[in-house]
Amino acid sequence: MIDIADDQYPLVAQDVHHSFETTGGHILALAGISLSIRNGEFVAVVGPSGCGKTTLLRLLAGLLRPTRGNILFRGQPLNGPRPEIGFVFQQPTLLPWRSALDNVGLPLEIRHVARDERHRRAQTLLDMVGLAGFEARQPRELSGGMQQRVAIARALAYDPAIMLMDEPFGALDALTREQMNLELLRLWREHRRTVVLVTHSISEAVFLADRVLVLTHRPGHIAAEVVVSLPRPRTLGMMGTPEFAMISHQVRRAISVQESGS
Amino acid sequence: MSTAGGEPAARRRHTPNDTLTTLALLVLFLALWQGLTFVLAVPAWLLPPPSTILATLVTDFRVLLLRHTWVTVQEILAGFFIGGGLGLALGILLAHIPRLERILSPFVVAVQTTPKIALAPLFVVWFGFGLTSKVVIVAMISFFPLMVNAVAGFTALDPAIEEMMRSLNATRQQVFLLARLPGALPALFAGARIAIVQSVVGAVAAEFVGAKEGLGYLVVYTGSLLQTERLFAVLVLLLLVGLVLYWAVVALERHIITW
Repeated sequence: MIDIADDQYPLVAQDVHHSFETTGGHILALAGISLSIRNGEFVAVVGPSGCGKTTLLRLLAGLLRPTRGNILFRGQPLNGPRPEIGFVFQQPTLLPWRSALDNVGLPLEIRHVARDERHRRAQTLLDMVGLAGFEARQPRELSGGMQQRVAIARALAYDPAIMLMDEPFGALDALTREQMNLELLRLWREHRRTVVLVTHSISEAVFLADRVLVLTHRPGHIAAEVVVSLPRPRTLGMMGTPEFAMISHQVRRAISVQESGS
Repeated sequence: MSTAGGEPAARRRHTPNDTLTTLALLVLFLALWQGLTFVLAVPAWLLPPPSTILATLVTDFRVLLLRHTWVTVQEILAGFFIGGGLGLALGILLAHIPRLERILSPFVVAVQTTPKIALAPLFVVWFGFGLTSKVVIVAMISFFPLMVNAVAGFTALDPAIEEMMRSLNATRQQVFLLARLPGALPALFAGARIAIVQSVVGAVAAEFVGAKEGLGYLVVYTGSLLQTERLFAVLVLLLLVGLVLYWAVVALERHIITW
């Protein structure tokens, strides 16, 4: 059974628990998370702040180990970060002394790719995220949206099959955010990657994803799964349709039921 | 990363107007000095006017001052690089072995709070009246700013950057070379700026205690003979040595730290 699923579901969580040690004792952040991410799928995870969304994403990235349960990558237990899994953090986390080009090339430098090849590939990636002409700029000379584009280009440097994104556009203004959403969809469509995106914006989740997972308050677990039946390619105009409103309402209700119940 | 990071450097940079005002103030100060010593007929052995100091500087430079300046500069540079280098090395070590830092920190604080210059007579006993005793003092003075700032700089890596490096499967060595070291440079330069200024003070004070040459030696010597105009010429040279060395460090810092 599982063998057949490995190809179809590259990322699987089985009854995952995670607790943190604090000075006040154990805090159970996640309890009993089970999910399967389908190949090529765009999954959004929403939930109130502090519900463990970010923890879940770090577990899926191999940056954290589950206290209980398993994370499987292509059927094998995940023991640490892998080049096949790219991660985009909430903050751009660029190295301030490096140019945009050298920030994008950082992963390749870590893998000892030769300088010319590194520059060539970093240039392609910068072009892809719409930053041609900004290669030599240092992060402080770029706007917040541009910095996050550099971070996305950097996460694409290993050409990962899976992209994990932790509220990547949370710090951006609404207009820039919509722009980035459209570009993210374009990147996803053109390269057929698997994307798991954590966000606190219901409309962003519905606009981008095939499937929205609703996480509850601590200890976090999956309270609901909403399939987004909107056609592809998505356009900003869809956000005004009754269908969009209905799906958003479904997601919102799943969150509020949980909040009033706990 | 934030734009705020670039602002202090920009604030330090003078506009042409600022520079003019600074120069005008200097000229005004010298003119007042010159005028008052003339009007009040202050004797030269008490307070010579700037013109006399300048004349002494010119006539004595080749025969006397150059040689002693060179001695003091050698002491400063040798001590700064030896002490700073050792401080940097120990700082990196302590930053990577927190336990060692905890064990050694009482000693570090004890030695750091001791006025190093109070050890100068001892070093004269141990190393004699020559260059060595001064280099040792300057090295001890340069050691601490570099060490303390190295510990601070190398432990200050943003946890978010560290996690990002980890997500890219970077080795510990790569985290050090690609993130920790460049990130520590501003702190290291801050330490170097303190150290170079203190080094000048240290070299001169060490020469006070026991020396046969150097600008500090000349201060004591000319002072005891009431050659006040020579004494002032030496002070001008000390000022210039300090400024040039400090500017050299700042210029290197501006060249390297562009973010």
